Parts: sequence; structure tokens; C-alpha cells
Amino acid sequence: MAPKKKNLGEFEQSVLLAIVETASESFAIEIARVIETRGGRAVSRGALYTTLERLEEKGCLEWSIEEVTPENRAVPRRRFEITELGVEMLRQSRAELLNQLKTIDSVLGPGA
Amino acid sequence: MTPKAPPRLPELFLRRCLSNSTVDEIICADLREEFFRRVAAESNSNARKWYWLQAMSVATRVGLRRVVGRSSKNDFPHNTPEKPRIGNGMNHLLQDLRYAMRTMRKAPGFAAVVICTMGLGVGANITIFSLINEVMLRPLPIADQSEVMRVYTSDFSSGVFGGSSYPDYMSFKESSSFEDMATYSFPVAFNLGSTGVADRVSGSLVSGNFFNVLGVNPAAGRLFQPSDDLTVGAHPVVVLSHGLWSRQFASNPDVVGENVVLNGATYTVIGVTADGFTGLEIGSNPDLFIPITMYGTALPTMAGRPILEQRGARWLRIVGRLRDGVTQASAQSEVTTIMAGLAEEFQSNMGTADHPDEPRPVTVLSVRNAAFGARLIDETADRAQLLLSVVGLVLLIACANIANLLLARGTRRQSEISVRLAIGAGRGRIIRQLMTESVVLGIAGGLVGIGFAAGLMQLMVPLGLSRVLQGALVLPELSIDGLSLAFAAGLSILTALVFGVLPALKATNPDLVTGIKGGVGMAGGHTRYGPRNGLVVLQVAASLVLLVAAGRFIDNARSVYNTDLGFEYDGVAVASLDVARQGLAESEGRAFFDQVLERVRTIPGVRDAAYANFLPVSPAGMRSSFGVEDLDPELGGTPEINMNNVTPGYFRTLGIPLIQGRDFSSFDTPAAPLVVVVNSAFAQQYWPNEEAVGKHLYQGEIEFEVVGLAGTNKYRAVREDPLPYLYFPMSQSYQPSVALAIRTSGSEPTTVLPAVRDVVRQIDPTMPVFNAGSLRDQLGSVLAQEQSIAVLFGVLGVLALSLAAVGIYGVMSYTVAQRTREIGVRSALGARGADLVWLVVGGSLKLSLIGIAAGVLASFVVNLAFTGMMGDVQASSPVTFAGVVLGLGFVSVLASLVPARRAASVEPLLALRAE
Repeated sequence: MAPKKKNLGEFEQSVLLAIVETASESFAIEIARVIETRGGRAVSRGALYTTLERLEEKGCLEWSIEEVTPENRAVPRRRFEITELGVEMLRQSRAELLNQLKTIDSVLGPGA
Repeated sequence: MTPKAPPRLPELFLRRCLSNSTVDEIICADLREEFFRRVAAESNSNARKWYWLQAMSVATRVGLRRVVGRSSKNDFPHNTPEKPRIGNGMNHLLQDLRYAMRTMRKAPGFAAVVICTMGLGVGANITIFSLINEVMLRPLPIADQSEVMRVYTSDFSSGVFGGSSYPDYMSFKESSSFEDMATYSFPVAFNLGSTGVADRVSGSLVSGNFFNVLGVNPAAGRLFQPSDDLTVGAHPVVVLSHGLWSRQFASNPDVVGENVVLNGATYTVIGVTADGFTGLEIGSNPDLFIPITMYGTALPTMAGRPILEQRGARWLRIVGRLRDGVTQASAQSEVTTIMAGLAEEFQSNMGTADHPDEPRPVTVLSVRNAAFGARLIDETADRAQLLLSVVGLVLLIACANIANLLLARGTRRQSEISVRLAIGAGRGRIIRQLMTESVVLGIAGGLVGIGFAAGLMQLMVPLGLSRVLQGALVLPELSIDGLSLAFAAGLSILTALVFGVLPALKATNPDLVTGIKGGVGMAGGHTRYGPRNGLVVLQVAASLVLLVAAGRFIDNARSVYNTDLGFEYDGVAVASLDVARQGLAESEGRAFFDQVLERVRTIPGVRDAAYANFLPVSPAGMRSSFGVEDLDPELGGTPEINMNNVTPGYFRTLGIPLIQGRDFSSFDTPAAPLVVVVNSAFAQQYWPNEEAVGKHLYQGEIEFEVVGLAGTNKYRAVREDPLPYLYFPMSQSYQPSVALAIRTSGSEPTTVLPAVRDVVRQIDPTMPVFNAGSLRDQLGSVLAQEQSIAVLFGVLGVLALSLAAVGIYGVMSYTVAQRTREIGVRSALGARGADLVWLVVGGSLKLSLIGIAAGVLASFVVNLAFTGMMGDVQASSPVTFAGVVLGLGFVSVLASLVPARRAASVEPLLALRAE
């Protein structure tokens, strides 16, 4: 089934961005820390995990289980990766955001 | 400050709300990890606050998604559907069952071998259990049987389970321990029918209160009342057994009130016993019952004689119901006191043999224990125990095999199990999964076992194997009833749990690294085979014990066959005749017998013929007290001696040597001096170093002159010690019920029997000829019990041996597979095929030798136990022992040859690449 093309919410954008930023270290804990550091506010883990699942349903991300070896850690983790669709939707969000900014500029005047 | 664990309450709540999928496990683990980071970076209380908040938020938000059915599509493939944890117990069980079925389908060969092995073990156990259940456990069809006791009188000479006389019964009846007491006779033969050919049935003489005491109800009409046995000869009434009623009278209730002819006398049927009542001795089911006062009909030779008044005539059995609150022990002491009082008054109640000064011992025994022929009680219980231990041993061997197979499989599944352990499945969870698989296999094996047992029971009946518990009595019908099924179910599940535990523990032993890598150590292999080798040793040892026991019984059966019986049974045909039961008087009877004998002797192929009361070897017999010349009657000089009545030519016919004196002749008429022939054992015991011929025996005023000395043969049992024995001429003591022995010239004596029947029919068309056959066949039924035990043990021994062979084969194949690389290296370095074969065969031999050593030790212990249990079974011969040891060694070599050849054909290059 083709994933629904639907606009991303603000928190979804933050999560996808965090995944891109953390790159190879994009585990749930890291994602939450990045968002918290950048936004300066606490992230609800309930919101985070449901958002991750929603993004997965939308086809914006994929995950895999990190192999457990005696050298790294005892508990497996999920590593998230953004999909092409995710990147495209992020770009689309950016365009929309720019559009919105232009509208604001034209109403209030640049540099307001 | 050491970091504490996250607060338990929110964690529990979180786990309840999430599923047990890998994704949710990881979410929980993430929260834990963050909690510990916060403990380190901030403070414990902050971290706890944070954990509370986040756990609740995840539990509610993610948990809600789970319940409404949206889930992560990309879940880890090996894991389970995500459902809330509520109700997980049942869910897990179902999952485990499904998984177990799937594993069985994936390895059908493995499952089949396990199920069949288990089926064999369990089936053998169910069969033996059903046999024991039938013979020993099933309740008798009488009311409140725990209160019912039997009373026996003994004279010291032959066990404690002797009969009692009617006057003694009347004395015991006074006892206050018993609410009431009844008496009955062993079943005797009756000719049932009016005219034409009569049917031969068995019937018991019983006192009028017999059915009241036992609490047996009628199926039709009424049963006897005390008023039915008041006057000798005055109560011609009969009660039919349910069996005879349905067989002969088509269960017609109108038969009550009709007349039937018993031994020529007319009786009125008054009732039928309830279905299931077959008398008190298992295996001797009377077809009908008549009042004891009618003994003249049942025992024509006793007609007119006051046997109900003779204190010395001990031909009756006694059964009594205890009063409330009276124990077996107090009843025992009361009847012993009564007997002591009687012995003061009556000489006949004193003991004989070596105890002439003591009253005869009386034994009170519960009817349950006495049910299968009193003499056999201890022997039967011991046999039952023996059989159960033997099949238990077979099951043990089967279990060792299955445990071995499961261990091998556990090793193969090591990497699957390690992965599941690594991603967080608990060890308990996996053990439960493996145990579920074992139980599923166990139940399947139990079902196969029930089928196998049903088949085995069908086989046991024609082979007479069920006789092993019961001597030569009637064979019990075998069936699988509820108790046997419960036994089977319990046994299967227990077995499954027992054989499943070790492999499950071992397979989940968390050595994850090696496990995941799928590697199985090479040099370290020995520890890995440890329990498997132990199981093989156990199997070999158990098989050895079983085979030695089997060899012992087979030896024993052979020795019984080779025993010199003291007479020549080949070429002798036998048949029985009973004229009194056809209503012939003594003079008619004598004439009939003389005519039959005369004509039988003229049948072509007949060399000789004679009559006797009893033919050897038969447990039936007669004994009586005699005064012996030169033996002081004051010093217990009237021993009870076994005796027989025979016609002239008997010794010739059976090939019994006449050592001195003469045979009986036609001159030994009732008017002539009374004569007797004694056997050599009698002469040896009473007149050692003296001429027996010419001496005298006495019975009261009557004097018998010894005219001949015959050889001693086996009379009542093959293993008996030389028995003093007396022969009297039938011409001086009329016997209406006789066995006819016919010596033939051909090899197949039964070919003369049709002619014998013709002869009888010509003289009296209504006279039944019964028990016709060859003497050898009749001996066969006496020997059958020995043979049955030997066959049964032989079969179980072979079963054990094959199971052990499969076990050795399995372990060796597995070892070869594990050591492929090592073998490859050896081969590459120049080891020859023979060396490699020896590597494997030698390993197998080493295990077998340890097992054999353990088995030999165990066999000595078991041999001692047997000797205690069955004193008359001789110890295993060294030849048997050596044969078994060599045989087992040979089988273990054979079982390892196939894997050894496989090892020898290993391609070095392939083997090295195998890892």
C-alpha cells in the first residue's frame, strides 16, 4: 500500500531532522536528546515513540535492530533512518515554511 | 551513590500495557537506560520523577495504539503478535503448543523416532499394569469387601492355606469377631442336562447364608437363604451364575422355577446371581451353586457318608464378615483360641508332620489378598513387582534414548535458542517452551503406547502370557480400563517431564557467544557429550540387567523342560470319564469301565491302557492319614500321604518303573486282602534300609499289605521334592470319576482318540468324554507358566537391546558429525581408514564397557533380590552371563560401525571447509 502523502506536523519535522542530524547514532534516546537540546524543552517519550511509529506508517522512516555483541551492550537498540520519501516531505515542509515566511514578510514588511 | 533501579510501579504498569514484542522490549530498555543516565547526571529523585512521568506517558500513548490495533509493521520476524499483556498465560501456552507442533512438522523423522520409542516403553508398562490391575487391583463384586475375611486351617505340612471341616466351621461360627460366617467348596464338575449328551459345568457347594454374607444380589429369582441347607439331601435347588444363565439359557428369566438335571438328579432353579459375581477365587468361576447339604449329588462317592459330621474332613473354605470395629488381628487371635480349645477335645485338630503336639494353625486373611488361589498370593505379588520393575527398566532405557535425542537436537538448535535469549527472552520462558515440546511428544508417545498395549494384549492371550501372574488358573480377560488409561496418561506426562528437563536446562545454558556463532567446540567436545555418554552407559547397564534376568528365566524354563519327570509322557493319550454324574450306580459303573478298557485295548495302535484318579503332573490330588508299620502311632505315626487309585497296567502304561514286587492284578478283588504299592520316596522315608514289600499300612482297623515298590516321579508340580506316594487298586476302592491313560505305538497319540470316543458312545451314548488330548499337551499347560515368563522376559530383553543399540548408534553418529573437522584433519595428516573406524568403534566400546561393568555389578544385586523373591528360580549360569556380556559388546560394535564407516569416508578438504 502506497504511503499517504500528508503534510508533516511540527514535532514530526523535529524528529526527522534529529534523525538526519544524529546520522549513524540515531537511536531513540539520541533523537530525544537532540530535540531537547535544540528546542530547550522536555520531550514526552510517549509522544516521541508514537510519532516514530506514525512516521514509519507514513513511510518516512525505517528502522533496524542493532546487532548485540558482547563488546557493545547487553540490550539491543533500534537504529532509525530517514527514507527518500521522508527527505522529500522534509523538503516540502521547508518550501511550505518559506512560502509562509514570504507571506508574513509581505504583510508585516521585511525585518519586522 | 549507587544508581537504584527504576521505580517498580510505573515499570510494571508500563510492561502490562505494552506487548512482549521486541520493539516494546526495546522501548522499556530505552527508558531504563535514560533513567540511569539521569541518575548519574542529576539526582536520584529527579530521575525517578522523570521515569514516572515518561513511563506513564509511553504506557498510555503507545499502549493505546497497541490496543486499537495499530502496530509497527516492521517487527522482528521471530517474535510474537503484539497484544496487551493481560491474559498472557493462556496466550503463551497456545503459542508454545503451536510452536511445538511446528517444530514436530519440521523434523518429522525425529518426532517419529521419539514417539515410537516412547510408545514402546509406555505400551509395555500399560500392558503389565492392566494385567496387574485385572488380577490384583480390581475390586471383587461383593459388598464392603474390606470387612470380608477368609479363614484357613493348616496341618503344618503344606503351607497355611488349607481347607476346614464342616464341624470346625460350625465352631468358628461361634466367634464373636464375625457378624456371620459362611462356607463353600471349591468348584467341582457337574454333568448338566436331562437326556442326551450332558454338558460339563462346574459348581460350588455353599452354605445357605453364603450370598447373605457376601452381599451378592440376584439378577433373577432369589438366592439361597439359611433355610435352604437345613437337612442333608432335602433341598434340590440350584442358583445359576450369570455367565451360565446367559450362555446356556439365553438370559431367560422364566428359567426360574424350571427343573434341570444335575448329575442325574432333578433340581429346581430358584435364581441367578448378579452379573460380575464369579465366586471368590479368581480363575475358578463356578457355573452354579447348590446347598452344601446336597453334597451327595456333587460328590457321588460321598453320598450317604456323614462328611458334614467328620471333623477331619477338611474340604471346605470359610469366609466371614467382621463385626463393626473388629480388626483382622483380633479375629485371628479369637479363632486361634477356638482352635486351641478344639485341639484339646479332638485329636484330628492337632497338627501332623513335625508338629503332632500343637493345634493346627488357623489363618485369617482378607478376601482381597486371598482371591487368586491362596497359595499363589506371595508369589503373585512378587511376580507383579518383578514385572513392574522389568517394564520400568525398559521405560528407563527408552527415556535415556529420548533424552539423548533431545540433547542432540538441543545442540543443533543452540543458535536459535541463543538468539532468543539474546533479544531478551527469559530462560524460564524458553525452558517452558522446550518442556511444552517434550510434553506434546510425551502425549503423542502415550497415545501410540495405548495402541501398542492394545495390540500386545491381543497377542498375550493366545500366547498365554497373562498366565505369568496366575499359575495354571484360567486366563484373565485383558482390557484397558479407566484406571489403566489414567496410569498411561500419568506415566506419559511424567516421563515427558523427566526426559525433557535435562535437555531443556542444558540447551538454555547461557553460553550465548558460542551459541550465536553456531559453533560447537571441537576440542572441548568432551564436556558437551558428558550427559549423553552417561545416558549410553545407563542404557547399556540397564539392558544388561534385563538380559541377564531374561537369560535366567529362559535357563529356568529349559531346566524345567529337561527335568526327569519319572515317567514317559510321549505317546500317551488321555481322556476323562465320570459315570456317577450320569447317575450310574457302582455295579453299572464298574461294568462300564471294564467294557471301555477292554475295547480300547483292541483299538489298532493302542499298546496298553489303564485308569487312574489323577495323572501326573497335576495340582489336583488326594491325601489321607495312614498308620505305618514300625512307626509309633504315639509319636505322630499317622502321616497324611498323597495317594492315587489305579488299575492294573497303570505303571506299564506310563512307563513308571516297578522296582520290586508286583503290579495290581485281577485277583485283587474287594474280597481279597487289601493291597497297596508304595513309591521309593515313601519306602526311603519310613523304612530306610528295609524291604518295603511285605510291610503293612493301616487305616483304623483296616490293613493294607505292600505288594510292590514303584519308582518316584513328579506328581503335583515339576519342581517338587520327592514326594511319598501310595497307589491303591481301583478294584478294591471304586472310583466313578477317572482319567484314562492310553499308551500308543504311534508318534501322535491323539490319533486314537476318535476311536476311543466311538467306543464310549457305543457303550453309553450319553456319556461325555472330556479333557481328551495328549499327556504331553496337558503337561505343557503345567509348564506354560515357566515358558510364559521366559517368553515375556525374552521379548522385553530384545526390546531393551534394540533400544540400547539405537541409543549407541545415535550417540556415535552425533559424535562423528561433531568431529567431522577433527577427523578431516587426521585424515589429511595421513590417518588410514582403519584408524578412523577404530576411533569411533573404540569410543563406543569404551562406553559399552563402562556400561557393562556397571550392569554386571547391578546384576549381582538384582540376582540376590530374585533369589530372595523366587527361591525356586535358580541363579543365572556363568554361560548366560558371559553370553549376554559378549552379545552386548557385539551390538555396541555393530551400532557404531555405520557411523565409523561414515567417519572413514570423510573427505579431508570438505571436512576442513565444513566450519
